[in-house]
Amino acid sequence: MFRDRFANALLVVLVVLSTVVSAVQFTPELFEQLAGAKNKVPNIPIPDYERYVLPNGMVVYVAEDKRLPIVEVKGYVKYGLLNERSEIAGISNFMLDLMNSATKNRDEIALAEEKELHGVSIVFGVKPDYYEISASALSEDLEALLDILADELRNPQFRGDNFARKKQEHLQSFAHAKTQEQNLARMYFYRALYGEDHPYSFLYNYDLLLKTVSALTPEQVEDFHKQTITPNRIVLVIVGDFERETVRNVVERYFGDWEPTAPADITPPRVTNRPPYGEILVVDRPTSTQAYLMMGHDLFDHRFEGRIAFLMANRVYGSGMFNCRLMKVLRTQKGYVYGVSAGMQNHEVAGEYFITTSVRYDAIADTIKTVVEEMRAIKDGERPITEEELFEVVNLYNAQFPDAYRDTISILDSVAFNAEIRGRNPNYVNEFIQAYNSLTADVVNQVFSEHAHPDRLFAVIVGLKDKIVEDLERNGYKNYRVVSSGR
Amino acid sequence: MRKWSLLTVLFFSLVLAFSINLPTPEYVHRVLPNGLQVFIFEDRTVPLVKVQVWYKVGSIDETEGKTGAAHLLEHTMFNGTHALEKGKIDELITSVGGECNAGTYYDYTVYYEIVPSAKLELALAIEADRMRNLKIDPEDFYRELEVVKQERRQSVENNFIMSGWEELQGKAFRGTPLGHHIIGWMEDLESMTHDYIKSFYEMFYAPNNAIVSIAGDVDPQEALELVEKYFGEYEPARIERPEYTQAKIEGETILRLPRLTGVALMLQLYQVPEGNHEDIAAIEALLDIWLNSESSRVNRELYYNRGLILACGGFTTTLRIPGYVLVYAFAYGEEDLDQIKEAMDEELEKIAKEGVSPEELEKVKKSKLKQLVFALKDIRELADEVVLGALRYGDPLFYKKYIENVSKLTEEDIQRVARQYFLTKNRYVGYVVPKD
Repeated sequence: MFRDRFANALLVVLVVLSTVVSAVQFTPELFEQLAGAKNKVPNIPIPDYERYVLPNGMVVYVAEDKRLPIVEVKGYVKYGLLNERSEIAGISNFMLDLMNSATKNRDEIALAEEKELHGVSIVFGVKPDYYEISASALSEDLEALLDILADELRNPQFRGDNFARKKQEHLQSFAHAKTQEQNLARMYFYRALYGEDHPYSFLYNYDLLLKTVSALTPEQVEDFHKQTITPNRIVLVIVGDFERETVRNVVERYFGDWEPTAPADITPPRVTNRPPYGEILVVDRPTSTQAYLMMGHDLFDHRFEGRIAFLMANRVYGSGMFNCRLMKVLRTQKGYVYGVSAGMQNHEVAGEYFITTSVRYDAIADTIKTVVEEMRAIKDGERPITEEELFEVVNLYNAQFPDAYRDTISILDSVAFNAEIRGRNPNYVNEFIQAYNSLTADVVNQVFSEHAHPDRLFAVIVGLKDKIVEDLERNGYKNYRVVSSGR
Repeated sequence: MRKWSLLTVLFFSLVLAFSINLPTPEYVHRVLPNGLQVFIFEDRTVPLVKVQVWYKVGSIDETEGKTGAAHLLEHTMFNGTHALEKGKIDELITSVGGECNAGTYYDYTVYYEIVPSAKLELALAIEADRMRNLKIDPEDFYRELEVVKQERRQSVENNFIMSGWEELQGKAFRGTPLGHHIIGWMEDLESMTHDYIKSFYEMFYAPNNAIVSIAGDVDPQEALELVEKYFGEYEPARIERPEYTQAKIEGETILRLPRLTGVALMLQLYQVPEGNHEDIAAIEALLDIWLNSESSRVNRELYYNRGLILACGGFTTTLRIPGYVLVYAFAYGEEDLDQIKEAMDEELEKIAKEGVSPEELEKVKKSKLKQLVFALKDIRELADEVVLGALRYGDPLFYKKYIENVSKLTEEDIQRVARQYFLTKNRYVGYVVPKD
């Protein structure tokens, strides 16, 4: 009995020992040994594609991809918000919404039903420099897809029963946006950045949109459509399981006899506004249990040659990932925020640089201070971006870039966008990869130092004004102005 | 080398139901002696691999007064182990050009890394280490708790939809696992301790309560060997779950929920069975015909004809326990909500009494087929469906059964579920209305 118990106990010990001996020992050294890798500089394979221009000026990119029985379309209509003037601000979104709702050949319900029967989806979007098109279907519905897309682009119905209803919807959405913290922040930020008269500020200027959209007439929208949606400003990218020749025939059938209705180019309005550098605007929003913060300043347009260096520097400063400097301080060290990120947009005639976060009331001033100090530490060379930090960003890009371009439509879309909208080389995606791989920390620091301006940062803070002001005052910030959300 | 056999599962004969030819993805499924399940999806499209560890624990496994524990633990899992100091997990993953994150849902928690495929072992080692060796330093824990409280303010309290939904759900399912949202109540977060989170971790984070999923540019045999190397020696644990009680919703309860909003929103909560119940396909098809499609019954009547709503819809929350359907309609003002509710009920009654047209059913099937085919663009999307089937229902091929159920749907199925789950009007209704 005893021997048995002893033998059992010995067995248990042996099993435990054997487990310990054979189990992996997790140590810092093990992890260091498993890490450390320099990823290969990727090359994005440009697919075999065809580019042709219809006699009416419409540019078409086509590539076959027979891996799945699908067809995908991306597209651009040049000039986007730049088409607008302050008297008709908001007309782009309104027009595109109507275009995607009914045509002269298909009323609202007929159009909706036909799309559903064929599994056709079409989405239009408004961007500062272009309108976006995104559409898809199974390849067996290729013809239906292009038929409906062409009908929506060419023959929209602006005089239907839905005009008044759609207008009411848009007005309601603007009124609602004025109750929401991010929308409020964007409204005051972009108005301050670009000025009330420049189209780049229109998208979020809900006060203005409430006035202008309510005054729009079907005639105005029809006229705007003729001036903006014209084949000589359109680029279509079509990828999928088909024969190129088939697509060419279908495209010519539905788009070939469409005559241009406006010149191919416009002269975009310049930005002349001077932002309120260094100021803080407090927007009162009752019931907020936190403050939403948006800071930023103006930046260069998309042609600026230091853009890629600035982009890399910004990844180190505020990519929003856990390893960026702002996240390390504001989330990991101080526990103030759930997320914080800095972003840049470079448009046709201007650009913007902005930092956004949500933060509890007693940490607002310290968050602003940290955003400024971390930017200044790079700019002034106190804590410049190191080669190691730059390597980490480049290494990440090298690893993840192929994932962003894993499908043919993403690659061909990039080719068309860069060539037709931005005037770059069709192979720009690979030039971009080479460019960020050739950067040094010195170059990155120099560009960031020249173009990031902590002293110019202006801020919009949305939340309970009393709590925001209390924290600003307690921390010595006097350069603020309070406005009501204007509900 | 240990000898093992690969169970290679052919996937997607399901598309035969729709008579369309698609490639047939394959995956490897194996269960280690300690209960850990492993799924490997080989895809050489790009030189990356996604490693995920799924734990069968979520907010439904929390107890009263301790809501938010599963999600808070998810945050705590990034604060390090005895071998990985705070911040090191992110540092290691980013150092190889990877990215990592995690998510918590009602019935699972998932961690993932997307890394260059040569760094698969690093990702697996990190996940294996924190499966059993988490270090919960009090100072780091309470700082992270502040981050989670801030996340709650940002994503729930200052969002009129989420906060209205949370209050409605809290009342409809009070005292049951669905009686709170995943992030938990603020008062419970305020009183949460690191000791409690440690005990929660020790209870649920064990190999027999987890699935490792690997999708990407890997050799399945090599990947399996690495999983065995790092996870194979862990002992299974005894998992004790709370009793999953079910709310008894009888009749209709309407709550008025004032929020800072410029539109009015109606929410309706209905109870539905577990996610693997055969009625789920019919319920989702009904929602499409009744509400979701652009030409749905409610859209025709209330959007196109009467201009009363801005938008409407409905979706299922399907879980390993009975879940719910949330129906919603955005309106111009509070004064319209009663008649909208009434009209939506009328449309439902018409479906229950008169049925749906073959064309309506065809549109639903077309939409599901398209979703399925587009999901094949990225194997990682499919991988999630397979793994969730295994985790929730013990059935990796559940997704296939669901599609088969969709393909077999009849008009009578739609009528039946309309009557059984919705027309009884056993529901909670929330009117999220502009605050004065």
